[in-house]
Amino acid sequence: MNAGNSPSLPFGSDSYSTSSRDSSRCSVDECKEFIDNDHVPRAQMSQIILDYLINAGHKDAAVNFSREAAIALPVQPSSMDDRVKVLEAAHEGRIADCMKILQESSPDLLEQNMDVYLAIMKQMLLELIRERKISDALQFAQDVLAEKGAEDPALLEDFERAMALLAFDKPEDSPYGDLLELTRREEVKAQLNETLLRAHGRDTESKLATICKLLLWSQEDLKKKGLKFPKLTDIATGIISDDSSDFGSDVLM
Amino acid sequence: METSQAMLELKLTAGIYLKLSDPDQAKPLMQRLASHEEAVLLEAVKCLRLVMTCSRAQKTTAVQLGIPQRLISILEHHNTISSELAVQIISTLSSFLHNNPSERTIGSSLLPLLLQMLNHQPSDPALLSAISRCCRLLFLSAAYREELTKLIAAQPERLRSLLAFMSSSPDICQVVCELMAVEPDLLSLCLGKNLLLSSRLDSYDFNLPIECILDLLSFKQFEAKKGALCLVSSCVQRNELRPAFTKACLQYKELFCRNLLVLIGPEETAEIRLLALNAIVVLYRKNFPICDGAFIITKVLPFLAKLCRKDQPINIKVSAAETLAYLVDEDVFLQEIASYTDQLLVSLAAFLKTPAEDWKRMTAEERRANQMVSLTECGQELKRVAFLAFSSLASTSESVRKRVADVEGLMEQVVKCSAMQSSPLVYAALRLLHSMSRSIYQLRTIFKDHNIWETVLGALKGKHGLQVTVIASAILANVSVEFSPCHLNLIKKGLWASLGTLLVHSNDDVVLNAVWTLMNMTYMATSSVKKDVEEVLSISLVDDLLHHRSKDVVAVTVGTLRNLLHAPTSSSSGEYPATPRQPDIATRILRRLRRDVHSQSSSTETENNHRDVMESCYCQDLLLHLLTLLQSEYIDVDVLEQGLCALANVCASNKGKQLVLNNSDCLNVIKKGLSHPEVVIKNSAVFCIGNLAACRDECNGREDKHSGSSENQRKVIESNFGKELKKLSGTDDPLLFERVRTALQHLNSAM
Repeated sequence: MNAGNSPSLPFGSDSYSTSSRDSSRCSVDECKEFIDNDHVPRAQMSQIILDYLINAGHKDAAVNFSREAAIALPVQPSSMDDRVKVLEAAHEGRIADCMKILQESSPDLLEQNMDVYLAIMKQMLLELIRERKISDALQFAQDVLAEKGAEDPALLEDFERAMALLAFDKPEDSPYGDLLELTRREEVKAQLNETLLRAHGRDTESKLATICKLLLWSQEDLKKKGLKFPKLTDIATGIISDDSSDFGSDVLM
Repeated sequence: METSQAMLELKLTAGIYLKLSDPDQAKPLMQRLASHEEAVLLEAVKCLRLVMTCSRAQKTTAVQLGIPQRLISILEHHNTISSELAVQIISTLSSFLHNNPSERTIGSSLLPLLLQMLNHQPSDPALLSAISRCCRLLFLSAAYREELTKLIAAQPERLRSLLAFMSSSPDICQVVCELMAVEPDLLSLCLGKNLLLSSRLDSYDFNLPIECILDLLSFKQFEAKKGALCLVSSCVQRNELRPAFTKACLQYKELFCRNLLVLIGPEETAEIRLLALNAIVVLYRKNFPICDGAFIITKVLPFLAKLCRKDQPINIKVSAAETLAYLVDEDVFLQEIASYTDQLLVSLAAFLKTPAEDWKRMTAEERRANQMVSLTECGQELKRVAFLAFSSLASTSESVRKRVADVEGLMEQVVKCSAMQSSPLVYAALRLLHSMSRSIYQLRTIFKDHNIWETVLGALKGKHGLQVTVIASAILANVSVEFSPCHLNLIKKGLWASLGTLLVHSNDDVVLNAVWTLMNMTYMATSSVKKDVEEVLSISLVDDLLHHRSKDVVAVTVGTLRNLLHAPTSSSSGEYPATPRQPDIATRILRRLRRDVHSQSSSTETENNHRDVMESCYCQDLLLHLLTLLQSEYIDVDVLEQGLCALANVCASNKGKQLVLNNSDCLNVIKKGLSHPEVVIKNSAVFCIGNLAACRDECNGREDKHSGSSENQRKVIESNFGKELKKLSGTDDPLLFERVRTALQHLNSAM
């Protein structure tokens, strides 16, 4: 027993803990019955979905859903336009456009969030490399990134990895090819989204994401404590399984 | 030119990397910025902002190229340019203010220009937004905040335009809230200039700020909530603003309370929760019906105590302890409860240790923001708030005082910190000593063990400013009571010299404390002490003090005269009570100022082995000044009572009897006292007559053989006091009745 982390049992024996756990254990059927009986109000569920759609920047879906669910949209649809444009530009790798839209719609945002600015600049370099604009990439690195590297040497390693791509004919196949994967754009997009949401006074994480994280954390915590319980193994479909088969912590989302 | 143009277009399309330090690259841009064609200018400004974003080097080069001046000169003609261009220029100039510590001049030119533009009431929301964002950005800098304050102070009407846009611009709203919270004098100034005065109402109209504050409280942004919460606390704490502010709050009471209470919920950050708690505490202390006492006891107090615990970040602990100190100060019930809440005393005791680990965990930015750049500063700040909290907890309850005194190493730290350079720290340490000095038990134990009198005299040297002098003089008054074991030490280490300075201080509280100290020192004092006092308290100084603007100073001065005019005792130590009757010195001193102690300190203790005090010219001069005061038409009841008690002491001595009986003014004062509507005054006047008529040495229980006693008694009878006394014999007041009876007995025995 790890005395430092788990509470000591009053009678200190395994037999106590085993019998106790077994007797109080909830079966899958009981769990499903509990879920069936414990209805989450529809309006509350709709609010959670709408919150997710707004935070993710799905403007049209949010507008349509709010109309169908007959709930008020908590933000002006037009206020989402610029964020959607920025996210689209980031998704498509149009970083210069992304910058321009940001400068127009949220003039101080980049000045106040240097980390976002650096992420965008690094993505800019990667996009130039992806488009094989080698001289532009070199010029850009020299003019913009060198200044930032001089201000904060900790950034240099990251920039150097990106610059190393220039040494390869096929940078995608190089050891640093991961930098050119599209997931990088998604990371920048997520970072931009979070920053824009914060600047507009919204929670940076949707309620749905928070609930999912809480669920995973709780299941993981119960597992660490050695308890057996019905586990939600696929969040998307809501499949609950007995943990005797031990799916581990790999819950499908 | 065409090549340059093409290159520029390319750069502009890429939008990023036009290097301003390269003349070839900068030239086309500079040409465009100099253009009088608005479309060209607009594109150039947009490009400029793109290339400058987040780049200190580009901004520095732009300043060297004189670009900000050019932009400001365009903006000066804001009436002739489009709103879009104005927005772009303001945003670009704002960009110069970001991440550019070398910038010193742009804001100074920009600030009055922005206020001027606001005065013209821009109709374009984008322009208003740009102006307000820039105002807020400038406001974040201490130097510009000061400049903005000066600009508004010089022309308070400028604030009108800011106030007008509070409801339409969250940024303006934040600027105003933060400005008012940091510089509450501005709000007072604006009230004075009727800037907030409604044309419809006779009272100050706080509705506009209140509505905006309510909006801000429900915003998500930290800064918005912070500004609003600080403004609430600030307005409530200012006496001149409180009535109007709370009146306005009451109109929105439910919404206001709900918004505030939501902010102490777990969804908020600790800092916002603390600011909200602080606002609630301030409102509660100022009797605004924000919540009831039960809520304070069950929710607010435990939460504050929890935030003082070891595991909390330093800045949270500091704010929580300060708020807690304010909450429990003056509320003995809360002090008792707080002292047992969540092991608060233990948590506060941990503040006294060097916070090495906590300090390491702070980021450089947090250290700067909380003014804890060094470990020493951090430790001092923790000690300061710990002293304040301990001082509030121990201010009234004797049992809490004892538990505070038992905190390990506390008094050593207090003594050490009292001698430090930091004035706020010295003040906090002295405030704790002041709370502890209200206990006779503490005076006789820890004060004696740690030679606190030395600390107090050291703090009185005046190098820490008025606040410290006031609190140190208050401690001096407490440590000089007759039960305190440090009288001799105080005298040896230059008490009289210190008092000489304090008695002529410009601050009323300091003078009051100094006179109070004198009153304590002269209480049942020996002849030699009184002799010393004569040196400090010259007749001219007595005259000044008796005509002091503060009624309290006059009352305590008369109390001091009463002690000085009282006959000395045979031994100093033997007269002190073995155990204190009252645990709280303040109560005891107040009791002494009232009539309770008359019998102990006055008339009946004249002894033959001492020279009659009234033989001295000094005391006779004191009597004359006292008489002048007592004859005044507008004399305060407390002062008159004290004065008559002093006169009673004079009447107790043989020489005094002669002086009083031969002075018709004295007798008139006593006669007036007998017909005074206040029973306390009648009481003192009757006491004077009783002493005048007494011919027995009651201390020794034998006949007074003084040659003039029969003559004195004859004069008393001739003064027709008997008739007045008989009228008073029907009084319901038992003390007055007893004194009238005794006086009549004295008179009858003399007939």
